[in-house]
Formats: sequence, structure tokens, C-alpha cells
Amino acid sequence: MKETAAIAQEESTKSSRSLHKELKFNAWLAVATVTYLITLYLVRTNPDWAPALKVIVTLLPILPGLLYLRSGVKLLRSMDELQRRIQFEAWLFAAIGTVVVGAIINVLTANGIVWEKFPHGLEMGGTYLTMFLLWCLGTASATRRYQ
Amino acid sequence: MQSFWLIVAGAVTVYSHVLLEKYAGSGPTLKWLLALSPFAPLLLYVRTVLRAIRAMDELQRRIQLEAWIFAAIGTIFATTAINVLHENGLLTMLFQPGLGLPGATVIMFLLLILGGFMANRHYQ
Repeated sequence: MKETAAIAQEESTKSSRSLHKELKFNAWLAVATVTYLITLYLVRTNPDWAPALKVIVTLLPILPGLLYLRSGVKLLRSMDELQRRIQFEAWLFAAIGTVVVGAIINVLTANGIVWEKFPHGLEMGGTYLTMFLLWCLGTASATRRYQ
Repeated sequence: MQSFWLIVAGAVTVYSHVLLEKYAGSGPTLKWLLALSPFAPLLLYVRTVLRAIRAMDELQRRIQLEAWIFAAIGTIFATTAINVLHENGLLTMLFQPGLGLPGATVIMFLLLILGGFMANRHYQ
């Protein structure tokens, strides 16, 4: 009886730790999104700022993006072997897919086959969205393969 | 033989540029086909690399996967940074209109070397 209670408590602790890790991981994505929206607003409403300041402010959302990536790598390393392999494959699929989509849009724009919706290629929001959708697809595909 | 499709992609890129200049006044369908033609051998190259990675032993596979993810995500950051700078009119002289296919390939290749070195060091 005591053993069952101990196992249940251990499982509950593990589950709350895992939830805490995932919340911490996704918090950086939320910070990146909020930073992006704020910097976008600031740059558009202050066209008279010095170019150097504009560059710094514009590239600011990359910082929480890198921290999001770092917590992603930490989360990956703490997973068991099978989960890690699934996530590695999903991330590789999402990353290469996003590079290819971004390159296709840039090549089309460079050759004058203008894509009116993306005159500057995939921007920050488009990149995050494409990567997220491809990551969902990659996770589903890798999970199916290892079932 | 692993790099065969990469060499084909390079040749197709150069040839498609020549053809795009030659047929600059043609319809959009032909231009789309020519502009996107290098992506077919490039995707075949990615498939070959993924197959080669799956055939590796556990440690080598992990090193290669980490290196490739590092390279791809690094390329995404570089591309996005350039695109965001263009969007805000801050990078008017360089990389117009953003990193093209050769630029993305070169950056990815350099980051792949760096990622491979870092992953090798991590697992030593």
C-alpha cells in the first residue's frame, strides 16, 4: 500500500516537473512574440530614429528566440531516447522545411516573380508560424514511424 | 556520391539564372519553373543526407542530427534577421531581396561545419 502511494507521489512529482519544464520552455516563445510585436510597433511609429538604434530594436526579438532555442535543446537532452529521436527528427524536418520555404520565396522575389504577400521573404512571424506548423507535421510523422 | 545532388543543384542554379535572363520577357509559368528548378535536386540531396544519417551508428547519428539542426536553425535566424532589416528599410545595399539560394546554402554549409565540430567536442 505504502509502495503504491510512493509510486503515485513520484509520478505526480515527475509530471509537475515536466509541466514546469514545458511551461518554462514555451515562456521564451511568448516573450519572443511579445518582443516582436512591441519592436515592430516602436520601429513603425518612430521613423526618425537613428539607423543603428532601429537595427538594434528590430533585431531584439532574436534574443528571446535564441533563449527559446537553448531551453529547447535542454529539454531535448532531458528526454528519454525514443522521445529525443522523435523530437530531433521533427526539429530537423521543421528547420530544413523553413529554410526551403524561405529560400523559395526569396528566389521568386529575386527573379521578379513578385509574391505580393511576402515582398521581404518570410518575416519573423511567418518564420515562427512555418516552423511551428512543420514541427507539428514532423512530430506526427516521426511518432507514427516509431509506433 | 552523397554530394552528387548538391553538385547537380549548383549546376541547375547557374543554368536557371542564364535561362531566366534569356527568357526575361516570357510568361510567369516558365519563370516560376526555371526559378524553382534548383529546389528539386536540393530536396533530393536532403533526402540522401537523411538516409545516410539513418544508416549511421547511434553516436554518429546524434552528432550529425545536432549539427544539421544547428545549421538549419542558424540559417533561419540569419535569413529572418536580413528579411526583418529589409522590411524596415534598414538594409538597402546588401542581400537584396534577402538571402537567395546560394547565400542560404553557403551559410548552412559553414554552420554545419561549426555544428559538427561543436557536437563532436560535446560527445568526446
